[in-house]
Amino acid sequence: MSWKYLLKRLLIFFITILVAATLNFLVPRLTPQDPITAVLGAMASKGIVLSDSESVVQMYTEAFGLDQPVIVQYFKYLGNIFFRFDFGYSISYYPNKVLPIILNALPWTMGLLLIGNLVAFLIGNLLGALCAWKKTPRFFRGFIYVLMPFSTIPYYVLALLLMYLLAILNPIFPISGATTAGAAGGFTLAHLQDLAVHAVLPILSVALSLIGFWALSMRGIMSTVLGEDYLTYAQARGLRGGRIFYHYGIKNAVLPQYTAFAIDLGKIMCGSVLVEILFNYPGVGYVLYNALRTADYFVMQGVIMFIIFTVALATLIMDLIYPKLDPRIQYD
Amino acid sequence: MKKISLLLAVAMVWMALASACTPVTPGASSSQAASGAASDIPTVAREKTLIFENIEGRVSEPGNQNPYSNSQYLDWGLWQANQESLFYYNYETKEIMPWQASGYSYNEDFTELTINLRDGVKWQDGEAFTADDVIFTINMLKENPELRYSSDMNEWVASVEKVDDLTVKFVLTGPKPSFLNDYFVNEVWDTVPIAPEHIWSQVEDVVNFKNYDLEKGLPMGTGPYKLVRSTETEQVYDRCETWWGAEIGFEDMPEPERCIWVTCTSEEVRAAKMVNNELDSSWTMSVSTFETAKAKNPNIFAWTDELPYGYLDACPSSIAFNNAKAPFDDPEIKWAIAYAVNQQEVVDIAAEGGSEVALTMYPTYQSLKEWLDSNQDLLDKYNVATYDLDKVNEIMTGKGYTKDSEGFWTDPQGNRLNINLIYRSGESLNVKEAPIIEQQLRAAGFYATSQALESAVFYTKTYTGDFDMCFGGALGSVSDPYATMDFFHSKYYKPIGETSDARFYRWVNKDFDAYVDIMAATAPDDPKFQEAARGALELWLEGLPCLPLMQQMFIVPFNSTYWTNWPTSENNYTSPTSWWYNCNLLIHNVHAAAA
Repeated sequence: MSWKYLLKRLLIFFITILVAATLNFLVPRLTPQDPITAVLGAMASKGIVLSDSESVVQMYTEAFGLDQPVIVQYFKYLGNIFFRFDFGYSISYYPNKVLPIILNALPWTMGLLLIGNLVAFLIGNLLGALCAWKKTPRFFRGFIYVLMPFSTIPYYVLALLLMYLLAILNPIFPISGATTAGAAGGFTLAHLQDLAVHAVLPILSVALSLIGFWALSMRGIMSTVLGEDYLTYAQARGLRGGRIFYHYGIKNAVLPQYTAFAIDLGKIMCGSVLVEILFNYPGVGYVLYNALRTADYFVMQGVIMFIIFTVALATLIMDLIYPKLDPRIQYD
Repeated sequence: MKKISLLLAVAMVWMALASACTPVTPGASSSQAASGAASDIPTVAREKTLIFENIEGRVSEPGNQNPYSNSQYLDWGLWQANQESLFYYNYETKEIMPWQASGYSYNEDFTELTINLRDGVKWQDGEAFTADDVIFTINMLKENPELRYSSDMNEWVASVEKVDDLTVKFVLTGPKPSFLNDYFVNEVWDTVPIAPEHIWSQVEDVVNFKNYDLEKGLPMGTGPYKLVRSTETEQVYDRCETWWGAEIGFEDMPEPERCIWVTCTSEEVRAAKMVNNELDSSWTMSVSTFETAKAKNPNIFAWTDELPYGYLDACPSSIAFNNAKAPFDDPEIKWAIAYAVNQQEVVDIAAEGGSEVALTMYPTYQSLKEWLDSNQDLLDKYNVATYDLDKVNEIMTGKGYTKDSEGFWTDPQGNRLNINLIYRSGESLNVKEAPIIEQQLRAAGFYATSQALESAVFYTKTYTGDFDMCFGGALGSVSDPYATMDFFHSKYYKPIGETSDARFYRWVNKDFDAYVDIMAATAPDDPKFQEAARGALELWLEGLPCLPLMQQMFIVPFNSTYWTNWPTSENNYTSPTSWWYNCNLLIHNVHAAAA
């Protein structure tokens, strides 16, 4: 890979971020909602009726810079993001800052969706490859048809189903939450076990909804790869079936899947709102959902910038390492 | 094999992150305190733990325990277990119960309030709770406009003086007999919490102060529980064995060794957790969900054994008119709409029979019921619950309206009278009420539509006057009629387009204002107050700025598997609302279930 390509690719990356950041700034401001009014409303719903709401509105408007011209707000926003990584204060939860709100939520979302997606990717691709492999027993090949319906069921419906079957009807797993209420914390085996047990149903609902997709697409790609000359040659050379299947079949067939997976990984940041709500997982999806409902511009902008950044970064990394995965690919 | 290893590696890394950088030693370090990281705490047996639901659904920044931030609703345990109020209001006995304070008195014209503090009250670090704390708190609020209650204290408090260590005198800016009730008696939700002067006086920036450092005992309250863990989904409080109340014999030490508030996020999850005994008390449920949960776990019960099961909420359900927008500025049109709505049908369907029709904006708590009963003749004369389509026709035709070819009312200029009823999409009762009312209005000839809006859009529209009718509630009175009446005073009027607040009714009636002004300056038991209240009520009913629908009955489930002596209609030592400050009284009274 040449330096010229690398610089060009980095330039595209930054332009992508800039354009996305601009849209991120503009779109919330085009909606028919006033964030400061939303704060007053939320307070009123808790019985907080200020004696002088006008001055409070004025104070909040100035504190958030909403009284300044939009163009000034825009450049301040860009400067804060790119030079200080500061997304400002949350309007709904003032004076809490946006970044800690997002960072607190991030590990939960990343864990939940990273593992869920990885499980789906690994199992799905393996099953898809096995389904295309002639030596796979027939009954196993039929297994994919059992998994496919799960892909058609929205993940939140799957989540409810799993919760009902495995947490309510048969209380094998906890109903919700990331840990048992009041359990001792710390990096101990008991705590890790508690975390793992609570993660099973959320991860399963994400994984089951994706396995069918990966399996189907892998089966299609694998069928094509199996017809390639080098595979025929390997069989003629007398190589073991397992070696052909893995080293010559899967390794080549999975290449396009990596690109799709990389993009999927980037989308992990937005979280799986409904899964997080149903299972009470304190992730980014719920933060974004709440920000949308309460017109919290700055939290919205922060979360969306994270999503934009990670999708763009994941795509950039995948672009740059692709030649390592497939030596046939060369960049000038 | 490599891929399986990758998966395992990712899982291990995630679990390490998700244990949230938990320190080995109990309590969080100050840097981790800032982020609200989960702390290592000892195990307490389930039968010694009291678990409530955090009705907020999620704590966005668990490391912020500043009770004076405008956006902080610390009803996830801080109000109930860690903080205490100077006074509590008992809805059942109509008493103002002194707690941190021992008494109060006003001067003759209600321009001065003296509060006597209870001798022996201490902060959790052993420091005495004194007049210095009260004075410091009020002055801090006055000096920092970003803090909650700041505008209120600046409006009403001219000065606050120390008479002695246990006596504080407020000099008010004008007569305000409700000053104590409004700010220092926990009636609904919260109260002005008093800050520990010896801690907060050292803080440079009280607005951004997180008030969270477990090692230093922050948040510091006078209550019987200390915060030991705060995360997005869980708040854990352990009993403070040196609580002042037990030391001086004021109250017994509460039995639960630990109190936890956890989030549930949906009614189904809430019900499932109650059935599985993972919760001892939760947020409200609908009648059908409650009956299902009760059938699966007979230890679940509520305020009453039979319908309506629920406890009266302070905010009856109602429909607000945009009183500044034609034709809703015409009382006759509003009464025509009132005659078109069948409140009983709304109760039967939306509330599944678990409520009753409301004739006014007031919850029928004891003292308010007595007042309403004394004005029954007005309620009979202006009966908002009358369902009479003939009256609708009479009024509308009298105003020159006729029905078009589709049977909807049109004005003399041929314009159809369109009514759009908006409501917040998260309000489960309104979601059920809206289509019923829409159909009722259409049956009466009003072309009505209903629209669910997200919170931010809903509040923007209502506060700027960009609506026809909306579901709303004037939260105010619980013991006397003044606070709710004040909601409709025209001093809060803002032209359409300008941002108002919760008092968005935009109704102007100067005679009504005059009555409310009298009520503001006189004590509720004064005959002048009673006379003014009656006059205001009559004008309000005549002008009908709001259409009352039904009392809101909150079915608050309890679970007696681990804890007993919950408040019920038979055992009504307090209200069952675990999300208000007065949950303190509930915690003090529950007992461990027999083995």
